[in-house]
Amino acid sequence: MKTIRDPVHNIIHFDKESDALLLELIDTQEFQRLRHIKQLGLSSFTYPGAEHTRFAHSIGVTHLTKRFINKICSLKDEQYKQYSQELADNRMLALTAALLHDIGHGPFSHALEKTTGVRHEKWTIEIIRGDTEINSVLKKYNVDPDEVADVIQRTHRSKALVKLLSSQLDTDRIDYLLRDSKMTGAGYGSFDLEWMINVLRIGEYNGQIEVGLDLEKGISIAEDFVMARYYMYMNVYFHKTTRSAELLVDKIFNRAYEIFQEKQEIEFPEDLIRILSEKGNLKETLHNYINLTDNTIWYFISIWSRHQDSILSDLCTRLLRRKFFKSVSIPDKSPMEFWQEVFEYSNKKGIPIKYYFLMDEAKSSSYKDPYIFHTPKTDEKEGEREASEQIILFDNNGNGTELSVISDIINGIRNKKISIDRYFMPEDYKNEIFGG
Amino acid sequence: MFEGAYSLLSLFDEIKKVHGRKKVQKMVHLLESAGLDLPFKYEYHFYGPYSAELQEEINTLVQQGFLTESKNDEAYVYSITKKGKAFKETLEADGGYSLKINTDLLNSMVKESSQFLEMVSTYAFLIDLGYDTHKAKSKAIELKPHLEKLIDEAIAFYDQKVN
Repeated sequence: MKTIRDPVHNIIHFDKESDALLLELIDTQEFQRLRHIKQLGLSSFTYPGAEHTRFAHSIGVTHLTKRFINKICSLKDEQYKQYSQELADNRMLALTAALLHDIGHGPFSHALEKTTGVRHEKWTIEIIRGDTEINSVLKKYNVDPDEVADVIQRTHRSKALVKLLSSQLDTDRIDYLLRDSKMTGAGYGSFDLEWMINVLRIGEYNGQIEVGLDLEKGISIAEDFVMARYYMYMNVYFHKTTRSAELLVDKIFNRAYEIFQEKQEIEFPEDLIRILSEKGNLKETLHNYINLTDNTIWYFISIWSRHQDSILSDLCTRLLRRKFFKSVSIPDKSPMEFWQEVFEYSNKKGIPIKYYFLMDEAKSSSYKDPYIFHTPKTDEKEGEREASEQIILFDNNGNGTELSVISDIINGIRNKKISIDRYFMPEDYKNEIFGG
Repeated sequence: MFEGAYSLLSLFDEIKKVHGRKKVQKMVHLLESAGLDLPFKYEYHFYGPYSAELQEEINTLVQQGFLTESKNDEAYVYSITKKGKAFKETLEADGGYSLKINTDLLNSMVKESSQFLEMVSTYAFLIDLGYDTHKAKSKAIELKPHLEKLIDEAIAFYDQKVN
């Protein structure tokens, strides 16, 4: 037995025989790389403890998926039989997908994706299917890489498997909420995981398989879970300081790439040059991508902070010294009015708008929560609705009810118009335009 | 700063009106697949590729009065408002915003049903994931058995208009 100590789950066991595939996957070059990709990116500028990595999260999700499968397989009623069998038959596939679901994340994923034009999900698929140690290990254990990719991309025929890893009540979200809450110190993101697993159910709702909770015993934990998501989103994922840092990194990538394209002198990561020059040829550049970690990018940000281009050096210095842009929340001002004020001011001062006036919207954050931030439309016909944005509670006969229908608290949250859009700019510009 | 808003206002300015949220979703997905640089991330859901970000952007534009949302035959109908058109034109004039839309593809999609576009969009999603054409076809049928009769026509549409 291999034992791992974990801040969220305490003791995580991997059996050296039955979990040999997972242990070998963990030892691959591509998985070990996740030690150097932070789970919360730049959140440590706001919450200094948030230094945890995608490596620990991926192991946590695997452990949690194992517990979820064990729980569902232990449900004895007739209505659970087909799902228990389906999950038992695909147990190792589910655990493998859980372990590898974030394998394609790169350093500063969001900014890197914008620069390269390739989303991390595509790298995930390429790492699983391509010429990698992970692909060799999967083949050695007769696990079809295409099936693993299908589960992660939600296109696998077993919807029970897909929902376990990707739904409103999935192991990925549960682990990252608990982990991020623990590591940031923001206690309101925590909830009673043991009770949640105890009341875990699975069933059919509106023709779809859903992982849900027991109707009688699960309402409180379901409410807790949604509230934890709400608080974490408002206070951690969408924290103004973190978002300011994230937007700054976007602009640093933007400016550095612009200088590189203009063929001005600039040091640029060799691996990134190759990825950009091959324009989306993932096969040819897979190993260049795998070489990129947070450490690579921080090294170059440090170099660029001394670059002759005043915009690039200013943006990098601001990031390194935590001199971020300040936020302006102007809910009464329409985008048009804001735009005109900024346009006039920047024209007068000769300030490049695209680097110094940034708009931040909830939807542009890499963490999204449509369950909370989309007001549900109860009158829409079936074909208009995306049924996956629901949390289902099942009664003893397997009949499901959506959480917000029976919970006033959740209904209140879902129907509340939450506006957290804001603008960012350097403090002196903010003071001059908006008077401090 | 307003890239997402601008791209949608440009689309709605071109097509004037779209019936159904599903249809909007699939049209935007296929425009992205055809190479248009749009900021919406898609995941596979019950009706095929779906972008929660796109839906949020649309909701925001409706709240700001740049798009109208009405109901017709139980489907949501979206169209651009005068205010939306004015904002789009301001962004173009002052901010240098521009978007080169494949109008042939856009107008072809307007004429198709949302179910047909669901099949084309699902096929495109699979091709984008790296499936070869043969595997993408069989996978699309596996995912959408009720739409199997549309697959050949959907692939032909994809080959002619999207790829």
